[in-house]
Amino acid sequence: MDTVLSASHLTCRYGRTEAVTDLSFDVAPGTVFALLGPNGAGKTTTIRTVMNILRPSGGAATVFGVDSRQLAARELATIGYVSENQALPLWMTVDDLLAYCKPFYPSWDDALAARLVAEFDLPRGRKLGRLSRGMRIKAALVSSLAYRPRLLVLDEPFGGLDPVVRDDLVHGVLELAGQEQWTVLISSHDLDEVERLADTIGFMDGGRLVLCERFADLHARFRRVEATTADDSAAQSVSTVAAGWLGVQRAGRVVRFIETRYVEGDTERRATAACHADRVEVFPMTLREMFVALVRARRDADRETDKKVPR
Amino acid sequence: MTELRVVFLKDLRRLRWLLALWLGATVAQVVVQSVRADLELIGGAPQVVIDTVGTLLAFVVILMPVLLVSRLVHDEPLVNADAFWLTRPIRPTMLMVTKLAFGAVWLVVVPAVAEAIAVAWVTRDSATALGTIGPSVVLQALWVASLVAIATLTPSTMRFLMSLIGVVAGLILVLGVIVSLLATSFGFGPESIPDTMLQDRTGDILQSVLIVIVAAALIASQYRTRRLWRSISLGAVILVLGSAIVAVWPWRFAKPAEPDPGPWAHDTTRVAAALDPVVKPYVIDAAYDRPGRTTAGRKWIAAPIELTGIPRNYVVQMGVRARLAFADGALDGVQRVSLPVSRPGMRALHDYWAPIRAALEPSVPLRGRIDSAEQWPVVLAVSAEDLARRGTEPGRLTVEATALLSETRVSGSMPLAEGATAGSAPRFVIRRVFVRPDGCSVLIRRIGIAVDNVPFQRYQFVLRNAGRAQFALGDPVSLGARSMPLLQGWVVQGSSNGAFADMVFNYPSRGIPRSEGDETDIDADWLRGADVAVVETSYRGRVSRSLTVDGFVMKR
Repeated sequence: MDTVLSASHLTCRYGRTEAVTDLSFDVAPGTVFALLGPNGAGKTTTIRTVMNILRPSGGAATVFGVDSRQLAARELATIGYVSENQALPLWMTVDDLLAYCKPFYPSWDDALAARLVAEFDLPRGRKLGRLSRGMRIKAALVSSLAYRPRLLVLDEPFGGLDPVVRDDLVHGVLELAGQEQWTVLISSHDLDEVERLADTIGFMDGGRLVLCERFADLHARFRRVEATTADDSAAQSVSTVAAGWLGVQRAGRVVRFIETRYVEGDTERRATAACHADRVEVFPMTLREMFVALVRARRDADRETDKKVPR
Repeated sequence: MTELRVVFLKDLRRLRWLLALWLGATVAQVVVQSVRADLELIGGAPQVVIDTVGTLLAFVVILMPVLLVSRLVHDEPLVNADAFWLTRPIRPTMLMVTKLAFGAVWLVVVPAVAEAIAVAWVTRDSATALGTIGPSVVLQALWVASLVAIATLTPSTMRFLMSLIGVVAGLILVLGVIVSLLATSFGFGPESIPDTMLQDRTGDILQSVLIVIVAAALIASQYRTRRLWRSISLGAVILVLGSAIVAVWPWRFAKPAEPDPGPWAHDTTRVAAALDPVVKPYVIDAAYDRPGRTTAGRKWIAAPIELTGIPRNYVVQMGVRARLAFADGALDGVQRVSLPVSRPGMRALHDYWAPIRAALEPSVPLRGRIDSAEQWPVVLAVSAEDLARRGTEPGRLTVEATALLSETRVSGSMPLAEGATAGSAPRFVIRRVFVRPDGCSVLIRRIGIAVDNVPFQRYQFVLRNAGRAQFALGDPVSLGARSMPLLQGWVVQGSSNGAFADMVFNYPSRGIPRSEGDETDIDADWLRGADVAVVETSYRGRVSRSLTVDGFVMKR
């Protein structure tokens, strides 16, 4: 099987609102696929559709080759799902939760569950309703990892957690996913954790998949560029914005932009020519910087489109 | 099966305390019901306490299934994208079966059995106790199925409660609209003479089946598809179509056969309709009319029509279809109203107490003036103008009288002593006798399930001294009068499907005044030889007779 999870022209509507539009992506086995995007981008809707919690309005998604609408107990027994919104049975203790889940999974591993409970420092006898949010997420993770799922789906699992807890969880998931060669689909606002986890990034905005690329490729082609000119007037006269440059800003003698098609040497030459620059510096970018640049660029583009549309 | 067992045990574990509380309340309600009448006789603080406890228990017993069903269904909600179970390998069909099995066992069968055990303990009558299980199971199953269906359409307890309130309000609104439309379109009211006193339960059974089908469709649709509006639409379509089918259903399979009063009723020479030509008809303002038509200016004309030849111990309820024809027109109508008319020298025509007196002969009433009125059937309802125009004009009155006949007889007697019993199904037991200087109060318990298909039955308890050939009627005491008005009937009736009921009577009745010169009354000596006669009135069938009277004048 080439892909564990695949979406093809997936569309999902809530009434007249199209939450996800024409979404297509594939998740390869053993990789971590991160869905990124601002609030309301459609990440959670996408994941819920893939998990057969919601029905697609158009297109299709398959998991292990099975149409998402046909996902049944057999497939769900090999999928782990954790969401920040998930309503856990709060009246159960941690032990109750694990004991309740165990009979549903033929591959349940008691030793792994015990190890994770110990690693996450979970109080076994305490009711979930009396645990902190972070502890509840840990309990949900244990109940979703203990049967060694072939696919782990994490929907904003670490949102609002303190850095220590988040680090524990990221470390735990990373370690296990790496060891077990699991396929992971994660949506998150936490770009730092995604940066550590993800092999592939899918960037969503306004219900559409704007970008879908291996993180290594993305990291290679995104650069922050600072071109310094001889004087202020030279900087103000920059008129040619090359294709792939985002967020061009001028401040005194410095012109800054994001290069999305970085080729060593070529980017510097084009920047020198376009900006009449004396000096061009190129900096690698974090995922957070790429994310912010893409969101801003898209919003600027939307504003421009709105201006052009006659009202 | 593993899923079923795991989810079932999980639910049982979660709901065990609520279930225990509910079962306890169900049993306690039966027990409270059994001691309530005793305390009613004592009065004071214990009575207030038991009334309050009874009311609270009634609330708990009614409302607890709502909470239990919510907890049961909403632990794996069907209208919540964040539900834990949705991403777990739990088959929806198996989950549905588990929830329904849990509901059937713990919310239907177990409470019915617990109630039956409590009834058996209270009544010492295993047959009656077993007899409560069937009706309890049916009623509770309908209630629980409806609750489960609504719960599957809601994500949480709060939404569930709001939906229940909405459904109840909606039903009241729809029923109100339907009743109003029917009333204004077709009219109903006193025009129709009842065919029988037997209850045809076909409609009730079909409606119950319809409720089950709609509930099953909603539940199955929600568990299989989780598509809320599709499920609601499906339920609504089935409800509308089913209601239409129920409305026109031709096969009245649950209609009991009409009893035959006996050969004497077919003998037209013995039983005939008669109108006393001497006595003036009675004219009164109409008390009610067809809805949508004002009674202002309408008059009822009652006439002393009777069916002769009917044994004196029979209660007669008469309806008439009458036509008063004149040379240039006619007045006609159908009435089932009768009016109490008091007049000098009356013969106790259709008198309410006459059958009891006849049944208890040779004993005579201790207080004489209980035959205070005759019952005259209303033959016509006319406008004031018609009455003014035609009131004194003789016409030909054609009457078709239909009488529903109920026989009154003494079905048993109990010595006036605690523990005395009479009858078998139902059985009556005297539980308490409080003797006063001027009479006594008696607490009687009826034990036995009321069976719908038994022809209309009513029991009265008469204090009798056979040696003195005297009897006294009693005043029933309203039990549970201190509970909340809304729940009075429920609290007294209880939830044990009428397996037993306590009744208190004060003898002699204060509502019946003494006859002039009648100084006899109840004292200790009178009570020593007394028993309580069980007077049973049962429906025996109907007879119809026609009558034509020439020269009938409405207003003389």
